[in-house]
Amino acid sequence: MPDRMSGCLSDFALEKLVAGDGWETPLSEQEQAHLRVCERCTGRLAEARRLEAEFTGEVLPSIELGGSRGPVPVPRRPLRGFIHLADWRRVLAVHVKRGERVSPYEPGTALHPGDRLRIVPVAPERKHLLLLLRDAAGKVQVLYPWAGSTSGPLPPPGEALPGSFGLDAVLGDEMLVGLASDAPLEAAKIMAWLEQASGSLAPGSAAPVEGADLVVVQYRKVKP
Amino acid sequence: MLRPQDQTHVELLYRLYGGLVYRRCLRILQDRDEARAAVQEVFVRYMGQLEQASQVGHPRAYLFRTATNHCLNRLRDRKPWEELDHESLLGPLGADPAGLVEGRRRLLEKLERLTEEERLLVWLHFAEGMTQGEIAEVLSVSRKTVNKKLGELSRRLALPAGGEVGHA
Repeated sequence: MPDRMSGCLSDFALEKLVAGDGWETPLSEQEQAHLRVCERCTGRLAEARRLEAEFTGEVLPSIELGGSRGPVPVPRRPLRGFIHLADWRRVLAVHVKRGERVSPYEPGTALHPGDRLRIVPVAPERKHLLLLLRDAAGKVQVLYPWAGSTSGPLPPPGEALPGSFGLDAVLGDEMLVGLASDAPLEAAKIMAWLEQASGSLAPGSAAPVEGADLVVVQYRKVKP
Repeated sequence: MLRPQDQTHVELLYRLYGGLVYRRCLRILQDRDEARAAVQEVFVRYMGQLEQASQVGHPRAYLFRTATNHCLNRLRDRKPWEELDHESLLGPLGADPAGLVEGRRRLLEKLERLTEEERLLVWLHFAEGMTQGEIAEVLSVSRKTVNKKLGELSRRLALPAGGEVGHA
C-alpha cells in the first residue's frame, strides 16, 4: 500500500500545527518542507487557524456541555414504566437551537415557537426507542421513528436521532415522551393514552407499558 | 453523574480540542449548525464512554476518530449518497472536481457495506489522504496493522492501490 495518497498534507497533519503540541508523531521534515512551498496547504492551514479562532470566539461561548449543573448525567439505571420527571436526562439529552445558540434543555425553561430540538438518547442498556410529542393543541405524533407505528432501533449512546424538529406557533404546554425498551413497542396504545392525558403528567403515575424506561420532558411554549 | 474530577477533565478537553472537533465536523458536514450540534454530541458521547476512551490512546486521537465516525453517520442519514452535492463530499475540490466527486461517490457506496472501523480506515486513507502512520495514531493500533487491513480492504473493494480517490 502507498503511504500517502497525495503529496499534500492531510487534515490530521495540519491539526498538529493548530491544535497544540505533544502529538505522537510530529510533522516530518519532508512535510514541513512541502508546507513551505505548497500554496494549497498553506491556505488550508490558514483556514484551520481561522476556524480555531471562530470556535474560540463564537462557538465555545454559545455551546454549554451541561448547563449550570455540569455535563449531562451518565445513565446508571433504567426507569421502569413510571414517570420520573426529574430523571429524564438518564435516557435523553435534549438540545435546543435558538437562532445561532445551541444549549442543553434545562427543566423549567420556556421554549419559543421556531426553536429546534435535537434529541440524543443516552440509554445504552436498551435496544429500541419510541419518541412521541403531545403538542399544545393536544395532538400526538411519533417523532422517532418518524411517523412510525412501532419503536425504532436505539442509536448508540451520544448519537443523535436523525434530524431535528422545530416548534410550531401554537402556545401552551407540550411534552416529549420517550420509551426505551428491549422489544419494539406498538405506538397506537401509547398515543391513545397520551391523547387522553392533560397538558402535564404527574410524577409517579403509571404508563400503559411494561418493561420500558419511560421519560417525559415537559415544557411550556411561550412567545419570545 | 460524572465525578467532579471527570467533569473538569471533560470540560478541559472541550476547551482544548473543541476546535479540532468543530473543524472535523464542519469539514465533513459542510454546515455550521450541524457542526455545532455535532460537537456537542461528540463530547456527550465522550462523557458516556469516559472509561473506555481513557484506555485507547490520547483523547485527541479518540475525539478525531469519534467525530469522523459521527459525521459519516450524519452524512449517511442526511440523504442518499447519490444525492450528496460536491460540498458534502469534502469540498472544496481540486483540479478535477467531476472526477473526484465521482470517485468519492463510488467510495461512499462501497463504505455502506463495511463495519464502522473498516469504513473509518478506508475513509481516512482514500478520501482524506492520511498516511498509514497517521491512521495508526488515530486508531491507536500499529502501522503494520493498518497496512494489512488497508491491503485487504483495497482488494475486497477493488480500490486503486496507488490511485487518487478524491483527496480534497
